[in-house]
Amino acid sequence: MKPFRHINVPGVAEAVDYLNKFPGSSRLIAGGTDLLGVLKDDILPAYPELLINIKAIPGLDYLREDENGLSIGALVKLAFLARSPLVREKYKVLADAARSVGTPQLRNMATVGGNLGQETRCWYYRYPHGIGGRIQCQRKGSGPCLAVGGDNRYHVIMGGKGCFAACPSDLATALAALEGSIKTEGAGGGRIISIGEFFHPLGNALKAGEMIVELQVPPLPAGSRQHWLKYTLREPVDFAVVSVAVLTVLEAGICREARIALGAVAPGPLRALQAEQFLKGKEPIPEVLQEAAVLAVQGAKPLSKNGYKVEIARVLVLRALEASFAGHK
Amino acid sequence: MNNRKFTQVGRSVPRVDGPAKVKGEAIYTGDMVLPGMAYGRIKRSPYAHALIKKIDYSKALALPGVLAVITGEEAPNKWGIVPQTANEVALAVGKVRFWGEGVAAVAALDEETAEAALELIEVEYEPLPVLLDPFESMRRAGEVRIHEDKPDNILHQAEQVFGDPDKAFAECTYVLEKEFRTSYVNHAFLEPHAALASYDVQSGKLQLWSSTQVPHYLHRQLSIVLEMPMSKIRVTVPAVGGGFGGKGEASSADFCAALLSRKIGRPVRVTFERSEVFATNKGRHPCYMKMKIGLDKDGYIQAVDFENTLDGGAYAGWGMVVMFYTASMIHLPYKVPNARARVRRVFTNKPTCGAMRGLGGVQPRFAMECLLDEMAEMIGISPYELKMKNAIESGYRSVSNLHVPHAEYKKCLQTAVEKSGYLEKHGKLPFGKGIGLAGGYYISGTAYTLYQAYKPHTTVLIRVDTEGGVTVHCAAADIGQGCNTVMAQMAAEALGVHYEDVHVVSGDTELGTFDLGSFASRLTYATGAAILEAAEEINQKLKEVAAGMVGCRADQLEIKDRRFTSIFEPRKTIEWEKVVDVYTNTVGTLTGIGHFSPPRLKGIDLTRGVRVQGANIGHSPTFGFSCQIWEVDVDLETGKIRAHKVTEAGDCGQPVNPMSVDGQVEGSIMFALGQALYEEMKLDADGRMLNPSLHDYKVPTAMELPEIDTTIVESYDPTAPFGVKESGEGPVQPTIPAIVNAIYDAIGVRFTELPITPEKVLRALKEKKEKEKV
Ligand SMILES: Cc1cc2nc3c(=O)[nH]c(=O)nc-3n(C[C@H](O)[C@H](O)[C@H](O)COP(=O)(O)OP(=O)(O)OC[C@H]3O[C@@H](n4cnc5c(N)ncnc54)[C@H](O)[C@@H]3O)c2cc1C
Repeated sequence: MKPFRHINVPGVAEAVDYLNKFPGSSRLIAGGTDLLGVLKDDILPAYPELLINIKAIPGLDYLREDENGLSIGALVKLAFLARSPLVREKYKVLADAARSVGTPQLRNMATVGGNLGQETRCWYYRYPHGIGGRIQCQRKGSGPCLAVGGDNRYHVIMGGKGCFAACPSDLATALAALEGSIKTEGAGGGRIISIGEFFHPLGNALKAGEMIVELQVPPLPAGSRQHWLKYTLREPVDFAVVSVAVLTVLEAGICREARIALGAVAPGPLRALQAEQFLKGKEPIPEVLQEAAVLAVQGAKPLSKNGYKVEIARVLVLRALEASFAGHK
Repeated sequence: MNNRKFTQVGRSVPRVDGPAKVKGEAIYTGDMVLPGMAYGRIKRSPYAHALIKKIDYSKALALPGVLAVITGEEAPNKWGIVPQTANEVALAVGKVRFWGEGVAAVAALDEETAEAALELIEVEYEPLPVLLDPFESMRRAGEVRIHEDKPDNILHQAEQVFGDPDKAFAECTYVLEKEFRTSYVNHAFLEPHAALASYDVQSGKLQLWSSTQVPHYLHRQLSIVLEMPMSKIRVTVPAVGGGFGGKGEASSADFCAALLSRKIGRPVRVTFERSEVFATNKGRHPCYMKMKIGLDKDGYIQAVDFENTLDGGAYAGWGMVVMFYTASMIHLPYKVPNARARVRRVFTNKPTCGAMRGLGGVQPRFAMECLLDEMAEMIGISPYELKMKNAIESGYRSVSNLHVPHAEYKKCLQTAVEKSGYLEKHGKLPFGKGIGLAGGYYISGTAYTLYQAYKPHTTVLIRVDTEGGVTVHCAAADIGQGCNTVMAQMAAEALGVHYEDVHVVSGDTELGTFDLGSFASRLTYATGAAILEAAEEINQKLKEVAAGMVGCRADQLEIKDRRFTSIFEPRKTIEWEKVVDVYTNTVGTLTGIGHFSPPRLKGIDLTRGVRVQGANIGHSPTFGFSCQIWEVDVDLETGKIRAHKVTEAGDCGQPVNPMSVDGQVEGSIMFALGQALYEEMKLDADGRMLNPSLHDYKVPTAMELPEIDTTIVESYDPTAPFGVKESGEGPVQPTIPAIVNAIYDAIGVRFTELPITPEKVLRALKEKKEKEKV
């Protein structure tokens, strides 16, 4: 690994300050579980001179619930989220998504902010520099996306543009079903970005010098149920081929609300709005759910090698809906 | 020796190397730091096939902290584990033949500087067409040649005929022919290659610590590449984090560390990244196979025809041996009176394939066990019945002159079938659930020296004195398989002492006596034989002294449990230590030496009595057998396969350490499960590997671990030392076909290409549905 300077910052203000003093040549480091891999494989053309360690910022690992919903400090560890009785009880998809990440060791280090900030897992993007040189691509600023004409079995089936890498974050999928958002701090002050707006085909919405300080989940619809499913090639230590988070509200046997978020099929978590709309006002009988699942993947444009992801996504949506509605009884 | 009398052999003692490894205290090569040590890194090619026009490393050399840069030109001697096909070099000379091949190496004060220096090395390439498919490689050989001396892009090819297969097929009632294809897989051992070299400029001696399975062959190759006599080189093996064949020949880490150290006169360590392990590979050969089996009306095998094209990658490696093994593996564990094998190993611009656990067996086993499963269905009998009918027994001699002194294969089949309830379940489980059976075998104790020599393959020296007790010297390499533990057990058994009394000095070409290395499941058998011979010498000398001490004849004494006792007058007894004390006081330190050379059988077609080229490869003094029955669940909607239970029964001869045998069997099962369902290295059209990491290369983890039920069947090979066979490679053989057969039982699809991923399952189910509609 190439050398870099590593500094600890006492607070968010200082972190933002350093980010702005070293634009383009500094990176935040939280748990380091993603960043260190990125640096070791030297996949990016620019190598940071400075790592700004935010891990030790006091008070940024809170979990709070009030009338505005749930707030999660950026430094909350995935292990904590997965274990928290509050989250497991009420925000089940978040806890389940967190628990599905990596291994216990990783979850003990990995933070929620880092999970949203992590780099994609596209194997062209991640190709190690040491074996004949890194791969330049759209996402890195220049060059074509090699996945389009290459081996794209794990790439997106919807929403790619210029880059077809899938969003790796499981938390993002869960947050999308909960209609969560991300609170940031930057040189010009803070802002709130809804999770649906956070990921772009070529990266994320963070501006230079901006950092995530909190995840927010608004109050849940009364009586709602949730379900999380993640499909991987092997059980642990694997990113999703497809993940699904759903939230449902059932009143007198009729679906009042349904939210379906798909993960790893697009550059960001994707809400299946058409399917959601279709479900509203209907009785969730098998035929309805099947139809909804078909609608959820309608419009998918698989690449040459990832058509199977469409089928898996459909089945996962169906199963998640079945489980969520079953939870109402 | 009768196995009922054993006290040290057959004991489940924990591995000697276990505690240190579990506590993280074992010292691997990459942990070692010597005073003044420099760090070496290798510059790798960005082309899979290209001429090297120019290398300019002046800027790298000028970087502060850089001590030396070397290129292939400085050490152009070709090396190779099989000397007849040696065609590899320490670093590419004039041409690169796979993506990531080393073109230069740097030694610097620290790893960061070495890496920075790599960036400053300028290499000019002239790209050549890249051949990634073996058939394309043969087709385009006239236009693109990977090695100058191989105009067809074929390393070697052979045809072996035994009996009259064509006539036999013509007379068969049932004939089935199919194509099978295996994938490009890597061993994924935990510890990447590492080598630490220390060259002493005064004495001109080189010491190399290396994560290797084959200290001897590494020693030889170093001598060739460095042009130094072997007597000036010492190879030492620290703790090794697995090899599985991938450390069964030298690696460029070894050569670069040695060359750099000699150049700068200070120690140099080269430790590979995981990506470099993948980039240099030496994993299993992808095989394109066609197999045809003919049965008579009663279901007896009359002929097997086997065609195999092995995708070898860029260099020779173990390739020729692997190729001949695949040809040999059709002769067992069933009686095959007529056979033909046409095999060829082809060069492509990929990281080279080599030896991998169960080498040469896994691919043809997949084909044969799946074909027989299908043929049982053709005949309308259980695959179990078909396999029992054809299974070989003790004393069998194949038409290729392969002799099996002892076999409990039928017992393996029976045991696994009974314990799993196979007959009650097979063909009767609901759609999506299945059970499958396969058998297998592997060689044991063998290894032709890969270069012309008649020296014994193993020598064991046992030293007995009052200070150290018993010390066993042998340059065998414990790479985690446990040979240091079983050698101690066997020596203790042979000397009548306890396992705890024995020290083993191994893994060092200077301190240990000669041994070929850890491969081909040879060590337990080979060192066992040498230990028996060495112990005999010691026992004889000690008995003569003991006889005088207790007052009886030496040949009336038996040594057991640390005592010499008269077999006729049990009162006449004396402690072993006292006898050793008297012996050393009067004569001095006591030593015994033993050797082992495997018997050499000719590879001949017994029906005609003619020599068949390469047919002796695959012969071995004895063979291990096993059967596995797998149960799988297939998710019909997502294509996911869960292989959730395996019932295994194995004939490993007398188990020296049953706990170790269980470990080998369980490890083998996980190892082959990966190849069946998960693992595959993927290259893009330019030959660049897309998944050179343990994240993207999907090795199954503990969560994929099935329920494992193993049985060591009662077995004792009377022709083998302590009755032993092997257990490290045989148990990988049945796994893949058993899983594939179970998937067929579950969903009615016979897969012939690996790995069987959800994608493939979904596609197959869809095709099946469409076919059924028509
Ligand atoms: C083997 C393995 C398996 C994994 N499996 C999964 C999986 O299944 N699902 C999944 O979702 N993830 C998975 N991950 C990714 C893992 O969840 C993330 O690595 C982790 O959550 C990142 O958190 P961190 O604190 O370690 O981030 P770091 O590695 O410290 O940072 C990651 C990135 O985010 C940036 N960053 C960190 N904090 C902030 C912040 N507050 N504001 C803005 N930017 C920030 C950093 O600059 C860096 O670019 C896996 C990782 C590994 C290594």
